[in-house]
Amino acid sequence: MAGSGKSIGKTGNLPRKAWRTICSIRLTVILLSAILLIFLLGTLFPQLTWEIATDETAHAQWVAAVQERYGGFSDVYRTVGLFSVYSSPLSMLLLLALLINGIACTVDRLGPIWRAITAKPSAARPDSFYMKAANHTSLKVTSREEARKRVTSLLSRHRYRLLIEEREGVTYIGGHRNRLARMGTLITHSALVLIALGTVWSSLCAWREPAVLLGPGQLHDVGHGHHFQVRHEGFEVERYADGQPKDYRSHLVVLEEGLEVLRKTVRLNDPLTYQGVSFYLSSSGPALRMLGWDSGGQPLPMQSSPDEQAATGEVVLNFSAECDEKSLYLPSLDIRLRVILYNQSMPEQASGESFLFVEAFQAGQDEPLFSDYVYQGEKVQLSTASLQFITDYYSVLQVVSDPGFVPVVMASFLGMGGLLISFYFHPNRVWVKLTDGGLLLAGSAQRNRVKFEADFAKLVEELEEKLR
Amino acid sequence: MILDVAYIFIAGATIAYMAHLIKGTPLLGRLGSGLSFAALSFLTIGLTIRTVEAGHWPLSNSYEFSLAFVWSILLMYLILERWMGIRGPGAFVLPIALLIVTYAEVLAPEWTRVARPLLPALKTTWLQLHVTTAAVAYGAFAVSCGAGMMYLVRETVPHLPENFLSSTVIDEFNFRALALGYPWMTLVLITGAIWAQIAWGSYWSWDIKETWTLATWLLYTLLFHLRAIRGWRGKPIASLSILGFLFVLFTFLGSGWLARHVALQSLHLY
Repeated sequence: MAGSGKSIGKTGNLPRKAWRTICSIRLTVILLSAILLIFLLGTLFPQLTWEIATDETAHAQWVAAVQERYGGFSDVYRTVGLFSVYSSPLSMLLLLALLINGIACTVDRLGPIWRAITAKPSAARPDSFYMKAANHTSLKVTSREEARKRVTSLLSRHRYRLLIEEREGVTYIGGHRNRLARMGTLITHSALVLIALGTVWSSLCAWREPAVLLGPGQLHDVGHGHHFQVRHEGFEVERYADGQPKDYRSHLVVLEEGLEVLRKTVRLNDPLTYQGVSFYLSSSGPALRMLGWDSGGQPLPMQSSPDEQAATGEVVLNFSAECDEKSLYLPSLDIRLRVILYNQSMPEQASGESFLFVEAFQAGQDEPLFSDYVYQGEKVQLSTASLQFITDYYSVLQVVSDPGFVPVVMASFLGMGGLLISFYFHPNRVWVKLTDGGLLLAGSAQRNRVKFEADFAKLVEELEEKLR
Repeated sequence: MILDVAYIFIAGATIAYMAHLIKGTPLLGRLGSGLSFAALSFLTIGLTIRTVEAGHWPLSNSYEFSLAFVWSILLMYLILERWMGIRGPGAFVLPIALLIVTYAEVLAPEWTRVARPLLPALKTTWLQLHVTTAAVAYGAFAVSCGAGMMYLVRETVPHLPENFLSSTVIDEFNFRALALGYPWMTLVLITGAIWAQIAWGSYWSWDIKETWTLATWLLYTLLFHLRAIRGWRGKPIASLSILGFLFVLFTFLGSGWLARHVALQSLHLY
């Protein structure tokens, strides 16, 4: 029976031991060390982040660079997860374990801390308590009543909240300060849990279009359940005297059902936000506005590809760094144009005179109808039509909606508050026993005992001065 | 010129603090403090002049940040010296300031020494908030590293001068430096995340510099948790204080190299 009882006892202790392990700081230290090592490992290999993975061009460049660097090993590294360390199951598992550890630790300490904060302090302590206290002293007093006044005044000046008890001709004074500071760690841990929840919310609800190219006058339908559009009304570069770029600006207009509801000039570090969707200016590039008129001066139908619906009078071509050649179709004249943009200064370069090479082919003909260099702004006569080429810039916008950001930031500041409380407000207690002949003083600190020792010594010094 | 004078004062303060540690002469300690304060004053004037010349706070490249870093080390050290009323750690902290100011004066790329207007990507108040918090945190961690080294010397080297501080006092000095630096380091992450959201629409991108900053913060978080475990105070904390500062230095100087050679790209390369 005794053996059986012992066995039941051990089994009964298991959940408690498991809980203590989950709550333990040792586990926190182990998890933090493992996470730290994993994060550092991730910096030793190029990571395929979500931003790269969702951008077709960036992804292709990344794959090519990785192949070039690691050759045949790149597939091996990819298989073992060295290119996706931060989203690997191991990382997720460790972060989850740390989160559980943090929650458990917070829950475990909630009760004792709450009791410590709400418990009614008792001032009376036996003499042995004073002798055993880490910080204690005894002083002589001539008048208990006078000493009581001076001690309470001094302790109040040191921000102690006091409780005074009179028992059988003895005055007991209990004092505490920064009692709520015990909450500091709890606040910080709770904030970390909220940050984790915010990032989960971000990963579930956020969406992003990494590169929306908008030439002058072009529209972007936001989608994702939103019913508004953004129109690009031009891009400009301001420069310093030495030609270096000073500011990039993109003029955007928000339209709802065709009506303007918001207008903003977007800069780097200054996005446009409407209905929780933000438009960030991330880069820009050369664009070409082509204007066309028929022989009667009426706007000419034009399209940038045969499958597209024809625009009337004006079409915008956006050139990228990789592709400086574009095609254009004039359906009413059955003419195809090949346009190559030269010397169009990029926004980050000082301005230069730009020009184009234009070739026009009648359908079914190999010989060009027109083939020549054209300066920007110049008018060209082509069959019965006249065309004008105007160089401009398009903006590359990143369109993002991330509802997790604000909660994460708010939780971060909450955590910051918790940290400051933990570091700079330490719960301290003092006890005084006053008799007609003398005074016993003891003090204790929950944290930062070395600093409290100095504070206590100063308190004793001031008390001696006051009682002299 | 003004920065050169600050450099000389820092070198002088280093020598004075070391002599104070060995000889125990209070006058040498006071001389160390005076020279440190003079260096801090000259750096403040130099950085202010550069701010006026460039039209922005001097925090936009490695040279400017190095100077802000040294300024912060001196300020944090002098605050702690005054707070604790001890001068011994100066012999370990000032050499760190001297190393960093030497990097700024000798090794920092030539083009970074010329005050230039800001790139459009850096034109935001968040640059000042983010980089200033980093300078303050790094300064406090440099002081903590000095205290960590002093602690290890105290614990391992026999026959130290009589006036060498006790382990308890050095540990307390180190803790105060850490308690100064850690909240600022937390602010570095918060302000960085807010700036990243405003600039790139993503408050966290696993960029190499971001990750190393987070790793540094995690290391100090680890240190504070370890400190709460019985038997782990003392040498482990002193060693981690030194390691933490090596992380700081790597984040500042090494992560750019890593970004160029490993990550293939970084949002923090300008």
